[in-house]
Amino acid sequence: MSHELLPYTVKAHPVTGMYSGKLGTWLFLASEVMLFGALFSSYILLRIGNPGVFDHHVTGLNVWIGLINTFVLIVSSVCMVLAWARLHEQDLPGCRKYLAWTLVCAVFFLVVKFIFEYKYKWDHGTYPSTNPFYACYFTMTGLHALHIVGGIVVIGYFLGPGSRLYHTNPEYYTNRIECTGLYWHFVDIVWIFLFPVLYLL
Amino acid sequence: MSGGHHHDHGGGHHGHEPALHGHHHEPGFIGKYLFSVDHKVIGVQYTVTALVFLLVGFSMMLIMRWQLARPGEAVPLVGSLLSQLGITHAQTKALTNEGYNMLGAMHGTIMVFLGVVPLAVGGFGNYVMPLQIGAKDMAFPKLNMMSYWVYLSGGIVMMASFWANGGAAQSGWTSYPPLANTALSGQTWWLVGMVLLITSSLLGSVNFIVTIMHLRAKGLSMWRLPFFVWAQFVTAFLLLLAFPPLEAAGVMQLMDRVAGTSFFMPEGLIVSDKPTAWTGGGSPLLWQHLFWFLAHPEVYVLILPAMGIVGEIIANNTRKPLWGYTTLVYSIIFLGFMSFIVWAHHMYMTGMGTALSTFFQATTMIISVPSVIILTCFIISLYGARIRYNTPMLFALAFLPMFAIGGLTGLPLGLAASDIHLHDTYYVIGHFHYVVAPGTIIALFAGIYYWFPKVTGRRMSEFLGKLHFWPTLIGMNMVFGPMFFVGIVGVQRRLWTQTDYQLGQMTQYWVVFSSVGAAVLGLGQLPFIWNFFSSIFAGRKAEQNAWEATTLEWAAAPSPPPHGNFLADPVVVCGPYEYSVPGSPKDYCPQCQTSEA
Amino acid sequence: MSLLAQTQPMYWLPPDYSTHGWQIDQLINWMHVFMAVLFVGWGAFFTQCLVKYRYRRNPTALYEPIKAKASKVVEAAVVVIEVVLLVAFAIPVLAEYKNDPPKPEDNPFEVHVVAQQFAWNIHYPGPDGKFGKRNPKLVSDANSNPLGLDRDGDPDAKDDIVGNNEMHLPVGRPIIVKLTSKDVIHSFSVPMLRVKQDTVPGMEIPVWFTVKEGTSSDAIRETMIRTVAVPAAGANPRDFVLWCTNNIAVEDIKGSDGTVIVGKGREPSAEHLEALQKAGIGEIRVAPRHPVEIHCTQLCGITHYKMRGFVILMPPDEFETWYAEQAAGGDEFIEE
Repeated sequence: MSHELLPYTVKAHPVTGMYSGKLGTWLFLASEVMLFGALFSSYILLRIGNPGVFDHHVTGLNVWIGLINTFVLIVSSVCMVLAWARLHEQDLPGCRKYLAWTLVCAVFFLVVKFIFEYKYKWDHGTYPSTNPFYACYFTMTGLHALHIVGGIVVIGYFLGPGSRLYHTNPEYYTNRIECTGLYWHFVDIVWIFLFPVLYLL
Repeated sequence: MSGGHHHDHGGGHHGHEPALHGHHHEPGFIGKYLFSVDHKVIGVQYTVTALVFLLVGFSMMLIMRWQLARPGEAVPLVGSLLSQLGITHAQTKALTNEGYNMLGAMHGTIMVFLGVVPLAVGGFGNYVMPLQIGAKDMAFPKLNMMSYWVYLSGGIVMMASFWANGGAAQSGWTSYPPLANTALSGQTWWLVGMVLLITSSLLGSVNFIVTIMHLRAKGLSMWRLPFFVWAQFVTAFLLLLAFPPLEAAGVMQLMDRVAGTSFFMPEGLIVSDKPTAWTGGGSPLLWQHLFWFLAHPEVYVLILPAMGIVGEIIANNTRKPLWGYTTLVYSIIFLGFMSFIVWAHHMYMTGMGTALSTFFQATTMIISVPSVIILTCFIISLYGARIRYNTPMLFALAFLPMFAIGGLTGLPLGLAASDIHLHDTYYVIGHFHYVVAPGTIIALFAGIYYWFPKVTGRRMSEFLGKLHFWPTLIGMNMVFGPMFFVGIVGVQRRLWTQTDYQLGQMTQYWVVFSSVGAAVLGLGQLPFIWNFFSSIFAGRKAEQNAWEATTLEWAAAPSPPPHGNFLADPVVVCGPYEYSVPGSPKDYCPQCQTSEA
Repeated sequence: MSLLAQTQPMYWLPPDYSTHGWQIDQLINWMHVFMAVLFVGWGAFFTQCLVKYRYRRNPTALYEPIKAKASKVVEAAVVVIEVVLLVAFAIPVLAEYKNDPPKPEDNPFEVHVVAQQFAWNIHYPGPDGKFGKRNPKLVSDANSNPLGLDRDGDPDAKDDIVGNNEMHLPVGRPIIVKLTSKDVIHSFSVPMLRVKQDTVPGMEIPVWFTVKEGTSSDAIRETMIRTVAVPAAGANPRDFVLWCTNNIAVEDIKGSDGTVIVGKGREPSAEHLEALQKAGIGEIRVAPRHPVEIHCTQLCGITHYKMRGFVILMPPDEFETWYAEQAAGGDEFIEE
């Protein structure tokens, strides 16, 4: 079935005010909220059950690394928005440039995460099994990192082969970039919750 | 796709719908039947796969029932085969303790996650819902295809776990840690399978909601939707919001098992006289909260589509509008909301305080009210009717008292004081099986008989249908009815045999009776299997509107519907159940004006 | 169905020997009355409709919705009854069960239960009334220290009594049982005392109850005597074995020459069958060895079904004697 058959693939539905992809993305994000919500709830429960273990003085995570990564993700989100904005100016090369920058930020985030945080901890004998805090830390940031990887795949696709769609249906392509952006901002927001919860509290 | 494709279905038209002429070439066999993005093909794929899994889950139950009635005796027919998987004993060919626990855990998992939900939502939802709302397909056809393949992979992982070291998961479908954490590798397979199944459901639910919100035919307002569509709509929200916490829990249990974290492991555990490697600090009850946060809404995921099917068939075969349509819709929406705040009534015996249990008892009593209202609406719909007793109607009618028994027996379990005696006894097994088997599965059978002519263009045999109906109804009651009596005496569930216990010995005669019922039920499925396959090829030809129904799938789409579903875009002019309108020439007024092909 | 003929099968709630159980039973019974009334009411209307409005008999269906005031009345009644059951029965019964521990002046007897795969370890404080500390590091079934008591270092632990699967309790005196588990979640359930509570590792959860005065395991056994048919030679001994499992002969079963085939208090088994058949004995009388059983109601692993314990109810004076004997006689007593 080709997409042209179905209404509201490109144009917004008069009642919801969204095209189907956007509504679908929002619904997907609602389920993601429940996913991370469950993890945050578990974090709270385990923190209550293990007084002291979760204190940031005790855990000694490197706030600076976290802060740099937070900054990097915010920059990537801005690039994502700019990429979408370029499409409204009919500027595909501009869009792809910003998508590329988004990708660079995402990869930078992962490199920092793995080399300077995960690997550093493993080298110093800290594992998910060490205590409930590190169980939460590795699981939550790991799941978040998986979401980043997912984002990289999607953004990479639209930067590369996916961008051909622009030539046949620019509006449709713009919509897809918008949905990707929604997802990417969500991943960013999750980190903005994770950072204070894990590094600062 | 081309007009020639339509002729394959003998629709008798010439494919003059410009909308259907995309730039696609004619899909080959693989594109048409295997990796199809057509919601109808995917619906059939889901249905057939789910029916196979239902049969597998049912066969497991037959083996368990043999063991319960004849403890420690060789399993007939498949005894030697199963010994290679460790399910039966190498010498005696009797079910091993491990084998019993494997079958128990996998029976539950298969029936719920691989059988009933994929059939009710993936099968019926996928096939019927877009037709009923006048859509050409689901909103995201490729995503729809992906849902199916992810579901199938989840199913294959689950089944493959029988060949894992130590066999399949043995910790019950609830997988409570620490037991599940300390279990053998089959549990890891189970978790991976569950993550796949959950992902599939999430993809599907997004698709359903967007489709219902965006792709309704012209004139089809939400208050003109068939009740079945409403049921699917609420169900999709439950899947969307309730499943992720279990996914999170599954990831945590996977971490506990693979990375040695202690999310669910307290300190100082000693298993088999050896201290465990877990550092501790976790909470076993955390899993239960996350699990039941999913698994209670899951109950409504099972029952709502069933109610939707029953509503359709009752309206059609009473030849009158469904009584209290608006009330029904509000009731299921309310059920959906409430189902998120009753989960801890599964946990009264974990030592929760009285304040918390009072809250959950109150919400549990509240959630029983919409169920009572729904049942009452259905029964009042029969008043003043002109009831046609065809096979789908028989199944739909049988749903009503069966669901009543299942629902009512939930009440003593919902109150913590009476739950003290009944918790985790056979009473619970009886209760939820009445909801799911003589309730939901009976309704699903009704749906198969009802929509079979739409899918295949041929009718199933009425005689064989009735030959299927009576043994099924009687067999199910023979199997599950006695469980209430075994349970109220106080015999607990999940026992390889209950004959070591005094109370078990005094109720063993019921157990034997149940097992005889299982045999009746099993034999009763043979006419169905024969009917199902033979009718595809040799059934009586069905006209487009085989049941003289009002809803769009019958009124506007050929049987079977072509790719793209409708010959012309249907325009809806009235509510879903305009039967026996006074002054109308026929006893039904279709929802759309399009003339029948 | 031969089983049915051999005994008085149980159809409903089992006998109850606790002082609080009647409230639970009353709630269960009233709920079922309410359910039955609702079901029969629905069923009557349903059946009437099925007969009256069948296709042939009713030429036209009713289009206009009927004004079913009765349905509103029924629904309101359901709500009212549920509220009454909840507020007047369920909540107070549970509150009493959960929130009113026995007071010290009522002289409660405290015992601890540590569940493990697949046994109930019973921990009594001994004559000093103090429980020794249970140290997970010392736990070793192999060294007969399933609870991890430090017999030498811990003065409180010296006189502690440890039991396996047999929980001796005095009747008529409030009992407090503190429950925990060494490994996985189990559930401590005694249906005939209407007690059930999960045992969760890492948590210690108390339950309390009082056994009715004037009863005892011996007295209960007398009420549960039943006859078991001896199968003919060559016939399947299945039912015979089933009915004799964990049951004892209530009198000496003697052959025609006067030799005892199964002694009083012994469990008849398949080994005795041949002798019984030779002696021409058609049926024997048995009763449960320990009629009040502890069930594990939470799936706990491979032999979950075998995780059975017994509560042995004793009159207070008999219990005191037994308790003193155990304290004097050594650390352990083991199931016969």
